[in-house]
Amino acid sequence: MNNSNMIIAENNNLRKNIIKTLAVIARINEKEISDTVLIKEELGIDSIMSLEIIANIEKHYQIQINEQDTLTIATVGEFIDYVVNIINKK
Amino acid sequence: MNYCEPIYESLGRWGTNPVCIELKPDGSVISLSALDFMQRIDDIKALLGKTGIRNNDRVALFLENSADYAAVFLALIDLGAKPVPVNLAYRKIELDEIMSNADPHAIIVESGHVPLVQPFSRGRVVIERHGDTWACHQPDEEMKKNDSVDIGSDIASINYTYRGYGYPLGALVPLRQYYTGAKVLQEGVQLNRGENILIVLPMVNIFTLIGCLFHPLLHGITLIIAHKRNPIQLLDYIHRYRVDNVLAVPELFDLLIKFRDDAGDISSLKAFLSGGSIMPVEQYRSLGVLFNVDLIHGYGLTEFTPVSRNIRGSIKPGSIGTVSQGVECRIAYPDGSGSGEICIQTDHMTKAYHRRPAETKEAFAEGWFKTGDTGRFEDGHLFFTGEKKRTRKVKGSMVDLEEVKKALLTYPNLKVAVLDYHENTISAQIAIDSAASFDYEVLNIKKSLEDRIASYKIPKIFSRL
Repeated sequence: MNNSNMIIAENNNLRKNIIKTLAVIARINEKEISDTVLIKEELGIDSIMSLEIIANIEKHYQIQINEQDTLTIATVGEFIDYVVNIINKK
Repeated sequence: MNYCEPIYESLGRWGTNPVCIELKPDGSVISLSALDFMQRIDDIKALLGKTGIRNNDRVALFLENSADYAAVFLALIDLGAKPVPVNLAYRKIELDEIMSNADPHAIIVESGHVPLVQPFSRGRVVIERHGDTWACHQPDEEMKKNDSVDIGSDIASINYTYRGYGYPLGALVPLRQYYTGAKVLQEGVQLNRGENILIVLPMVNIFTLIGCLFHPLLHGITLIIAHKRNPIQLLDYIHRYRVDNVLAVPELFDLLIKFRDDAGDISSLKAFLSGGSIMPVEQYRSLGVLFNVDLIHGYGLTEFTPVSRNIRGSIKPGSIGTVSQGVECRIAYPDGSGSGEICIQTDHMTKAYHRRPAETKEAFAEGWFKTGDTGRFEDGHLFFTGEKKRTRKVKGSMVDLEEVKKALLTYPNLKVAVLDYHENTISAQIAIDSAASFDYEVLNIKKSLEDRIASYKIPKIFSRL
């Protein structure tokens, strides 16, 4: 596997992991979660749930997430991009 | 009169421990000694004085937790001005009501929240906090508010709460409520001088103002202010800063349970101070076993906190403790199980709501304050059984169901809304005239509510009426 294929595979894996985390905490089937789904309005994620999601992701990827930054994130896709960006900067 | 004299006295004999350690989101740390903290209060008093804020002026606070929040709050009280802490989660409906009722002379705002206060800045002094710097914006002289209505030298602050009327009420909180609250809290929690306490709840709440500001400052306990609240971070803070005590709501303690296995050495922990919502017996036991701490749960209201708290050494799981010294408590019209409305009486409590005489009269009938909550006594301990008033607690935050209904009815063609609450979740049954699909309308209703009320108040479940 070349480098770009590896990055795509890693990103797909990360995407799946984040969606799985969201699904478990929101108690929703992960098949119902796509990039355009709204985190608050459609998944019903509140501030305490978001702390649990952030903790899971920080633990799994050994990164630091600024909780204030996440307040303005609307969709699942934006959240995934935000996490990918932090991992890439690591 | 020096209103903060007891706090200055305590700071004067503080010793070498820091008064405040602030853990910033970027990982930097601010540590303030007693001298630094007193200097900060003096600097802020000088700044406020320069902007023209004086005795009796009402000042709305749109600030995040910080050492500056603590210093601003105390500086305002010391000047005789009346801080009005505002919940940063509030949106148009709550803010319109609070800013109209409190009608503050000045606004102190975190730079990131300036858009929130812009609709209310006309005619008011606006002091903007940006990191460590402050910028003052004065209104045109002819527009400047100049009334100096005396709301009483004994009143320390105006703190907004709900009783189910559909709008917030500004409790006129006397200074002695803060000092007495701190004293009776200490009788329960019995923290020792030199210990520290981790602060995670917003300082806008009376529980935080008493438990994380007045109580620690009066008892030589270092404030550790956490800007991050996720459980992995909190456990890391506990490990790195050898945290002794944590004050939070049961829902946050629940998250600590879930991530307990990820903690490093947290053997410094001595006590968890809990309030704001119900703590089930099972959760109480899990926390005790997993963290080896004393778990001290209590109950209070904006009008007086703590009404009751468990006493270290004689804690009764599932209860909200014994009634605080100096507070008289009775259960009105108890049912067969002994449960009825909790009514209290104490000289140290709030006696009125700002510019709300009818609501004041209703709440403070015949010398007793009707809490709107129900409870029962068992072996001298109070047990919370529910809410009689039209408010509910969602993960520690108070929600007025009438206000949510009012917000829902602002949505075009939404004719009827019936609200229900079950286990931290608000649900709404609605009738709406629309050709669009129900799911589409529900999504738009939720989006529109984001600008109107605090996010935690928005119903999660919608169904057709």
